[in-house]
Amino acid sequence: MNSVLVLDTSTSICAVAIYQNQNLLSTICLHQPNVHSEKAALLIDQVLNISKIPVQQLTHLAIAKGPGSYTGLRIGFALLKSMSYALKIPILGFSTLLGQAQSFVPIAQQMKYPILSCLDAGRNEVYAAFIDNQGNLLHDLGACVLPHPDIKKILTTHSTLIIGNGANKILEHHPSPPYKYLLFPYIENPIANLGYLLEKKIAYQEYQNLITFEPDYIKPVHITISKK
Amino acid sequence: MAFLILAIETSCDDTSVAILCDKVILANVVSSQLDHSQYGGVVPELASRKHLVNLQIVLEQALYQAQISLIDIDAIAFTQGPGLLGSLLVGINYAKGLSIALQKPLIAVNHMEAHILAHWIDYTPELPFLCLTVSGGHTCLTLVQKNPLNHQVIGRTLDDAAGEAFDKIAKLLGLPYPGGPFIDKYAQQGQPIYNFPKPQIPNYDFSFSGFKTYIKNFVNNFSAEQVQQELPNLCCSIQNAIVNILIDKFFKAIQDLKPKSVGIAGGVSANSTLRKKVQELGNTLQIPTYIPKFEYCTDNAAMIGITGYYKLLSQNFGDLGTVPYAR
Repeated sequence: MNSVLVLDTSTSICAVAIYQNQNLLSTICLHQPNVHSEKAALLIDQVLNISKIPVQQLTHLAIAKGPGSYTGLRIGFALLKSMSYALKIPILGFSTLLGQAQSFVPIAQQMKYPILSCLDAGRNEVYAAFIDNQGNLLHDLGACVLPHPDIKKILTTHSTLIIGNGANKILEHHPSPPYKYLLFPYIENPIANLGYLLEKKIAYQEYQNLITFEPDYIKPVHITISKK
Repeated sequence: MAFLILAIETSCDDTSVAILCDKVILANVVSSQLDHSQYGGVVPELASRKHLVNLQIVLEQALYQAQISLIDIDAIAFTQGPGLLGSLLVGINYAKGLSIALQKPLIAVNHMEAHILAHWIDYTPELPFLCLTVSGGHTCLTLVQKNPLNHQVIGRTLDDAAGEAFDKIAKLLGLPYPGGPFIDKYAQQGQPIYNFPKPQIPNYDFSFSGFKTYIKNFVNNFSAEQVQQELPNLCCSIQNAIVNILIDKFFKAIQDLKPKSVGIAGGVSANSTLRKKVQELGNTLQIPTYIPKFEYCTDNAAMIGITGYYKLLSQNFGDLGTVPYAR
């Protein structure tokens, strides 16, 4: 039996969950920005306690690898990398955009709409990914400065579910799309429906190398050289 | 029974892991990030990205050198601050992950206290002990009383740190980053022929920003060629002036407070003139003077480990909710 600890610290939501095989056993989700550094480790400890699973019984770790807050991502990565090393269990990474989209797959299937999953990236930018109605990644759009040609193309050729905290921003920059759309800017818990995704990753053994595994920062470090 | 302590230090741009068996250093691995020199200073975002990759490698290397298995570790010590927040966060959360997985206690260590405790790795200075800590980020005089963890800061810099003054002045002179060692190198070939005014700061506090501005204006009187030509003499004079500012306050504090022993700590204590003058001062005043080994002066995890050891003895533990502080 697989016992997977899942952590998402990539947005202002701090979420932990434990899955046994495909089933969500327990989850804790904190909607509070700038507390991940204090709370993430405590939440892991708590979710293990309420699940009554000794830490040694975990078989896998999984983490939202971005895009998202650099600080948040680093907190999560540092925590799970050392746990993976100390417990000698493999670590899986999944895209934050793909992870949060999983909760909307039932509606997407029913409506036969694909999903445009997005995160606010500050100023007039979003991180976005285009996902089919089964929850599989079609096209990773990366960091998009709005208005964006790829997003315009999607909105002018498909009825879509637009999800994530950048959804309103997308509509501001692409007003009145010709096709129908459903807007879900609010995500209750981004890791509450990952059973299918995790099972697939475990089946394909998409394990990460502990040394080289890094967050999906999307952007390189921007350094301006002093002219003084 | 002996304790095995794992120590993690990621406060700035060096990633370091040490393993101690009580006070004995079994491993002290430091990985420096050389990528910053081209930007003239540490780039915080770059530093924290590197820590996340390097920490895993450095830990494995330390365990290999110490011939210890992670499972045998009794406690995990880490730097809580002061330092760059992004860098500290990586080390702290890595330590927390280990604590959860191994079910072993955490010990939060103050980086500045650890610089002073570095003396206790090889020696046991008699208390009260007066320590002059000089690094790229800090300059302070600390009195250690009663026990090694009982610290009272009696003087600190009001603006720039001494190491920062070295680096910024080196930049004015066109020297690469970090400039302190380069100033030291050129100073060996020069004479202290220039006199600079000393900052008049009360008590045991320091100030270097005015001195830095004075040097800036002073160097502006020189052409680029003259600076090149005069580099050894300039470096020697500047180095002497900074060291004298430090030594004057140190001398004053020793005379007033009458400690039983004295020492220097921090990255700038690698500076040859400072080492020499502190030793001379100790000899003149006939007071035991401690200067730690070079590898325990710059940022390293061994000093975090030794502080962790004393905190472990006094049952002073951190928890999973511990957060870093920048200053």
